[in-house]
Amino acid sequence: MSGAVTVRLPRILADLAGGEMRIGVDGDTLGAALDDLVRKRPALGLHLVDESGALRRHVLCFCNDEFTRTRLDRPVHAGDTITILHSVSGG
Amino acid sequence: MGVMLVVGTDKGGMLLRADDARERWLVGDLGFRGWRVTAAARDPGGRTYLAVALESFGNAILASDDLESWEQLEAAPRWAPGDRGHPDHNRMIASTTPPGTGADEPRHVDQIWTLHSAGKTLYAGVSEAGLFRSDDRGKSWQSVESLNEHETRPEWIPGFGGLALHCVLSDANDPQRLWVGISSYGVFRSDDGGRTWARKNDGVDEGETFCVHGLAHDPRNPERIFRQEHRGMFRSVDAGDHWELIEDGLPVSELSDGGRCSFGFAVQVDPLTGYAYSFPLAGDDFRYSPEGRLRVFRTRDGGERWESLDRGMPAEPSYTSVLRGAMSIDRMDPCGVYVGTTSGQVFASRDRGDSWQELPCTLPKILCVEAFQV
Repeated sequence: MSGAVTVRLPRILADLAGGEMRIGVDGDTLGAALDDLVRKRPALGLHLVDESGALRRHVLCFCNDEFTRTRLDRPVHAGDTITILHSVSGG
Repeated sequence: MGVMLVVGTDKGGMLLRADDARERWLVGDLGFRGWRVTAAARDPGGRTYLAVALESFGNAILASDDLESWEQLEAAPRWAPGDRGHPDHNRMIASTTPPGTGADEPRHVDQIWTLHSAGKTLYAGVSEAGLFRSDDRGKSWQSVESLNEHETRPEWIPGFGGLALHCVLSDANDPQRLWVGISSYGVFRSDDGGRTWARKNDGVDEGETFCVHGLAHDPRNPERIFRQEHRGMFRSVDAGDHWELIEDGLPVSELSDGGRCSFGFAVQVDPLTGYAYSFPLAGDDFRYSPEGRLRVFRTRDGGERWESLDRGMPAEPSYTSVLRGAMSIDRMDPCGVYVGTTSGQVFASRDRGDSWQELPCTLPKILCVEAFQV
């Protein structure tokens, strides 16, 4: 796994996009790290970003333990983990 | 040789295989788990495509040359960033998505309803309604602007399932000729390879809008088209220029507004005999098998008379449904006919519908069924 920042994908997405649940990426902000993720795994682009270029409405992003979905300019550092989740509700 | 059946469900996809006899079926594991498998197609080169969708992560198309390993294609049909969505469609989609999605949203592809292979071109019909084409086996997709931005688009309104382009037919002998079905605006035909489109609803009495549910034609006689409409089963013998109601022998149900017709979604034609098949439902209020009996209906004379086929179907009361994409016919002789229910059962006939067996699996809600010779 190359890259200083780790992106963790949910199983349902990882299964479709090659099977890896942890992917190393580079970038000094959340947005740059996600851009690098899509460069390395282009198929993920369809799933993370909608037609307008924005992060899909139901995609949740955590940086370490912090919910950061709306802060693509949030700085990230070597050793950080970005966790991508999707909204699942109901019972 | 044999038949492969792709069964797409609300929670994944299943591949079932049989040899030419189609007596015993090998049932695989549920794949693409968690994804809605909404459409399937196979191109002349033997590549199989599956469309998948998830509300959270959008749509994608998977491709396989060996039916063992699947690769997600990097491209899929998408609207341009500036395209404005249809307010009513967005409100309907918002009912199943988190708050905030709604009438002011841009235009999104929220589902690929159909994949259609026509020579070297792969077509995708999507909602919000649109037609896309790929001439490089799915590596890139182009919006068919002549239809998608048709002068009538402001009049297009969604049906119960949203504003969707869900049916595509092509004429194998005339690659310039295409038909599409849009809920709820009816049928369009192009005679010039998709450069121009004309509405084709003459004879379908539905007022200003036309809620087409399904289209099928006989490849040997592509001008003969069967059209399952909200208000009944119709046929055209002139490529869609005129339509007539053909319900002799079909069960007729009452609609929510008091009208009566043979309501349903699925319609298919056997390419070898021209026999057509339908799975009528008990009107738009109920949408399950009429009288609690699972029956496929067949016409052997081009729609003059329909007959009920239920030998081998469950004898106990069965109130379930078959969606528009969940009926398929293989190209064997005699043809196999396959239906998948919203209750997760798959029924198969290997004798043109004369008798049926339930395949050995119970699946999530079935969205699509496609049979391919392999």
